[in-house]
Amino acid sequence: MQKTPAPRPFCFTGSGSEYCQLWLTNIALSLLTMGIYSAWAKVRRLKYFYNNTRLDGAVFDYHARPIDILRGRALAMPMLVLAGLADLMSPFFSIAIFLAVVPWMAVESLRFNAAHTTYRGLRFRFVGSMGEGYRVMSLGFLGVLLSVGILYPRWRYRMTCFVYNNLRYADYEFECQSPLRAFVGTYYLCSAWMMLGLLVGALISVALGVFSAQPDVALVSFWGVFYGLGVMGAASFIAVRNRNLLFSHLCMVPPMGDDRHRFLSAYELGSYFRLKLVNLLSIVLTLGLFRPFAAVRNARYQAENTAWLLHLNLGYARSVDSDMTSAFGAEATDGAGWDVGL
Amino acid sequence: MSETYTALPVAALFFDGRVSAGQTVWLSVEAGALRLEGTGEAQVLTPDVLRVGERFCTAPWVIDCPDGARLELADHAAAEHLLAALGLGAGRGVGARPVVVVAALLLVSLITVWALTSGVPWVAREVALVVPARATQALGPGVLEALDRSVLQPTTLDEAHQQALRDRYAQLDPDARLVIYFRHSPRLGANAMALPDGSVVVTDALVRLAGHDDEIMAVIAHEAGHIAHRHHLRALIQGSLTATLVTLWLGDVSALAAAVPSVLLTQRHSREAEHEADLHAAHVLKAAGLSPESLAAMLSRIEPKDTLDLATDDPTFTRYLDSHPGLSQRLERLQRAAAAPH
Repeated sequence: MQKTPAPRPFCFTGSGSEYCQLWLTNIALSLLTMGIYSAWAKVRRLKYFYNNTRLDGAVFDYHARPIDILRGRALAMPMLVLAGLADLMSPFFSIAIFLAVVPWMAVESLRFNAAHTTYRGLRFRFVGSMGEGYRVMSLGFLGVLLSVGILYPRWRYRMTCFVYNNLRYADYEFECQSPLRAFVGTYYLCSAWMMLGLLVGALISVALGVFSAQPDVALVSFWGVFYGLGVMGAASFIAVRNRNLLFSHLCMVPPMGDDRHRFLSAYELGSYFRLKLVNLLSIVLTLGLFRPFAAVRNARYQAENTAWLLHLNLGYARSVDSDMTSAFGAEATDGAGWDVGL
Repeated sequence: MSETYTALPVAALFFDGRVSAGQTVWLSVEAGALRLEGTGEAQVLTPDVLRVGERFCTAPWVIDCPDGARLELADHAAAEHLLAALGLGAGRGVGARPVVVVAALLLVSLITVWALTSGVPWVAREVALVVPARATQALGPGVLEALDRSVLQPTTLDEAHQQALRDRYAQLDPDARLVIYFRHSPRLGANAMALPDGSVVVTDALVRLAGHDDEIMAVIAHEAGHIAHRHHLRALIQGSLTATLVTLWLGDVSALAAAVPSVLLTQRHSREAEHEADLHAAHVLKAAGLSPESLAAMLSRIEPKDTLDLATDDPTFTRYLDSHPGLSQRLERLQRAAAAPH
């Protein structure tokens, strides 16, 4: 008899108050060292979040060496400054630089960060080629520009597939099988809702114009709030639907055989929207100090609503690294990419 | 160096870095080395090959072992005792230490406020002055053409009058080598503006409104001040830096939340630019033997509702949004400049 998959929920054990201290000391030290400490700060931050993410009795970890991150950032800084100056000259230059450089940075970052992320002592890998990265990101972006945005949902779909289809965990491969139609359909559905929203907004505006004592003030305040909530609502709608879609069609393919590990995502629009709204208002009201708490809340939501559907027929994962010569794997992953801050 | 370790063995989860399966091992200290006893044969590891991770309250304490292996310890108290016996550092505990949090918070707040109010303007000012004039000329070469298509029309002043004004200004301030354009603009009313490429546009209405040619010269001198101090470039740089800092702090929570403080700060920096331009005009006029009172007189003539440039004396919240300081403030400063000896 086929064994049914055993759900293993993710669990985030971190707390806002603990992370708050880490976050503050990170910022303080980064400012005091003119940004040099930011590489160490990044490692500490990711270790905090990864070590607090439990799955099936074990936790994740991040193993990058801060010095490698520093090297990547030292390279990225002048490029960003150049891009900023180019933007002053003409927006054409900055788009050109964007198309030429961002795919490289993105692929390198994916390689670096995947290689330094571990679960149960085994590493992830990103095997996407630079060429494919350029095709998907730059050519795709050009397509979006030329189509005046119509091809945007399709571009997002391609980028998501590019990331997940090229992700590996030990000897397992990830496969993203989300249907294009459903993914793109989310955007169209969202647009339809937004148009309905605009109609409702227009009706309310008319009512305000007629009945309000100070129509100008009332209209500006109403539209300010309505627009803000509308944008957040739209973003949440797309995020929730497409995230659920992505994870329910994501699987881990073993080196041999037909069985797969799968995933479950139970994001829900109401709770997600509330999460984002409370985060936003709290961050603004506390002049930014709520950020660490917001980050922890996000991580907790993500974990609570995601589960791994472990296929019990499948055995353990095995490392594919041929030789791990050093204690901390640093030499083994040298040249596994640059972290350029994405 | 190592104490006599007589406590019970500590349980830990061991991952060998080759297979994802974890096994429970019992850790103890034997002759200054760590002994791992599990289902297979016992391993002994010397402290120098172990790397202890940062201790987080709610996450397992991680010890990295050679060849990609790792230990995850749930019992922090026992682990601390064990590590002390090995002579290994206990790893920076995060925990909640109010003193550190408060100190970090104060430091970060002070630095941020300083950066936004003094640091960024200073950087923008210095960078703007250093960028060669040719580069600023590249900024918005089409601005005049765009204005000619929208709000400006050909001037109704005769050529002789225009040339007389140009010559007069060239006498006053020969170093500026200012290019002055005259235009008729019903929409802008009596107004003058400095363009990004270093030229100045004066409207016919302003020429007609002036009681004396000196007043026109005063206004042109004010605009020349904007050009000499590179206010356009400075504003661009300041705007981008401010927006970047505010976004970094408030995070990618929402572009809207980040935009408001940026706008407020940018407007404030712009008011300072106006004061600088007023002072420059006062200086130029005095050097030519004219009185800064001419500028004050002209400003008083120009009616607020007519122009883009001047703010009213409206003492409400909108003062913070105005990019120009209130009229009475400017008049007061000009009177002081007129009275000053230099």
